Amino acid sequence: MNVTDNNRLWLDFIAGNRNAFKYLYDAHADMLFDYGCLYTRDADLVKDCVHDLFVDLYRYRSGLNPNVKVRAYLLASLRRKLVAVKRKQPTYAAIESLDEQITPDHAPDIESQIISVEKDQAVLNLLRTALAKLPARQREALYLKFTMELPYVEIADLMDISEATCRTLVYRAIKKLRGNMENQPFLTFFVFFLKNSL
Amino acid sequence: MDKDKRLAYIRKVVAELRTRRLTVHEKNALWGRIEQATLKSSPSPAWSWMHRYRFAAASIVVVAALSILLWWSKAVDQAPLINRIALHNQYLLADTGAILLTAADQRTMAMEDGEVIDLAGKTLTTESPDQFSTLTVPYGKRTEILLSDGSKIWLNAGSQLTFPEEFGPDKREVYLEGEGYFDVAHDEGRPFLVHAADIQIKVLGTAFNVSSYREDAFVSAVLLSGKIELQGVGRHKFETQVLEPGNTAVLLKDNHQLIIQHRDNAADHISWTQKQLVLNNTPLDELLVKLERVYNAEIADETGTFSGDTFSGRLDLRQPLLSLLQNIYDQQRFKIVKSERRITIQKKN
Repeated sequence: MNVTDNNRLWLDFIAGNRNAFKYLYDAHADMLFDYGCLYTRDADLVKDCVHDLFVDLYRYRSGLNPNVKVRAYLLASLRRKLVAVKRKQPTYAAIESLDEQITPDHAPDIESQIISVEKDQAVLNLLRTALAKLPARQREALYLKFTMELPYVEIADLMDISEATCRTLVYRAIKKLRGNMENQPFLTFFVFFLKNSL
Repeated sequence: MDKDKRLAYIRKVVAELRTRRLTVHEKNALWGRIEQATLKSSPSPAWSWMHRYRFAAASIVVVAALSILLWWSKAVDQAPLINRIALHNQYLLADTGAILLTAADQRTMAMEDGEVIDLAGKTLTTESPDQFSTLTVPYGKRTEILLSDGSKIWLNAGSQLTFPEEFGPDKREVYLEGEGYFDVAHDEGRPFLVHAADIQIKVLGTAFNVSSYREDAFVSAVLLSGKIELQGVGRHKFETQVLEPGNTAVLLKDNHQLIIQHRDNAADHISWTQKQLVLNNTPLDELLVKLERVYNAEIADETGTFSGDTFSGRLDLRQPLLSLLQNIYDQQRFKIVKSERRITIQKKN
């Protein structure tokens, strides 16, 4: 669904078209859920927030701004809801805990790296570790840029920073990741492996 | 390592941050909850607000009404409506049951496998061009449909066709998700438009194959006879291309690259309509993905032996999947293990 389609849908929805409401949900629910899961591993909580978001949208539709950037607006609204719940529940896992969430699954297991003949796999593993070490904000910006494919203007809006800061954030993150691909210590690993197997 | 490849790696790893996806069932269940909550929520609090700010409210209504009017006038020539309806029904593809024909009033008929659905000269419910039907062909199935204008369409496994119950007076429009072979009835005054997620094809009267699976990295159109016009949609902006018979157009979704080639084997692309699969230097990955769709199975090659190899030849898709795989993998060297829908191929020690 492209941007113009989205805007028409939004106007239709504000005007009270029930079908438009359903399409709005169908077209954005997956994206919203994905985004919410960046903030917490409690999938039910994300679903509840998506639920509340759409119920609120429907209730207050007549007062909504007809000229918003729909995707960014929905993402920002969901983020606000999640943050509000977080304030109420001190045990709620914030985005900072993303590290914990990623490391166990994607921790580069040195042995599998040595054995892996596939150089690609090793590079990806290195990248995974590097990504897990990036500051949460940089990671979020990369995710919005690459996976959600949002333009910088919308990411900046969403993250509450200027467009220039947003570009710098993404640039720095890519530079750091790229650095990791250039110093691939395969040979060291390989030599190490040879020594140990003799 | 070149720049594009580096960026592709970063993209891939970043995408892994997506730890869990919403399943179709969850998505429908969540909508059910939202629907209940919003249908109950009468009267809207906006009403009291409207009494106080009658003028502001009235202008919002006027702006909204004008916008809708504008939208409708644009919709007539841009036809986003059929795309939207198609999107709305796509969840049906996730269920693997019978072939389903859903009418505009949501009445659903289950079809027999292999039956030709004949709608020539018929309408399902009403005769309005704004009412759409959807034909869903789950993985493991295949079907043929004859539309009201006499055009015949073969639909491959895991595909969906959305079409109006009655074609309009100036054009015939359908939406395709997945793969279809079109034999379009000639009608100079009413061009036939095939909308897909990434491309749009305009036809006068001709036979061609379109493959536009959401999960594939490419979209392709192969022209067998006549003439078609190909246009990019959304992110894929390219000049309208006119294809000649024998032309194969492949659009790579990642880098928006459009490759048009002339091949003598264009007819091989529709071998699936005869329950055959013709391979022509087809990479193993692509072959396995095709077999997964046809047989509604999951195939995992854990051998890594042939990952770079390509295959040529003709496969009979009427034979069971296991014997087909045994033709590909030498039984002396490989072990094929089946457990329900999942088939794993391992190296023998």
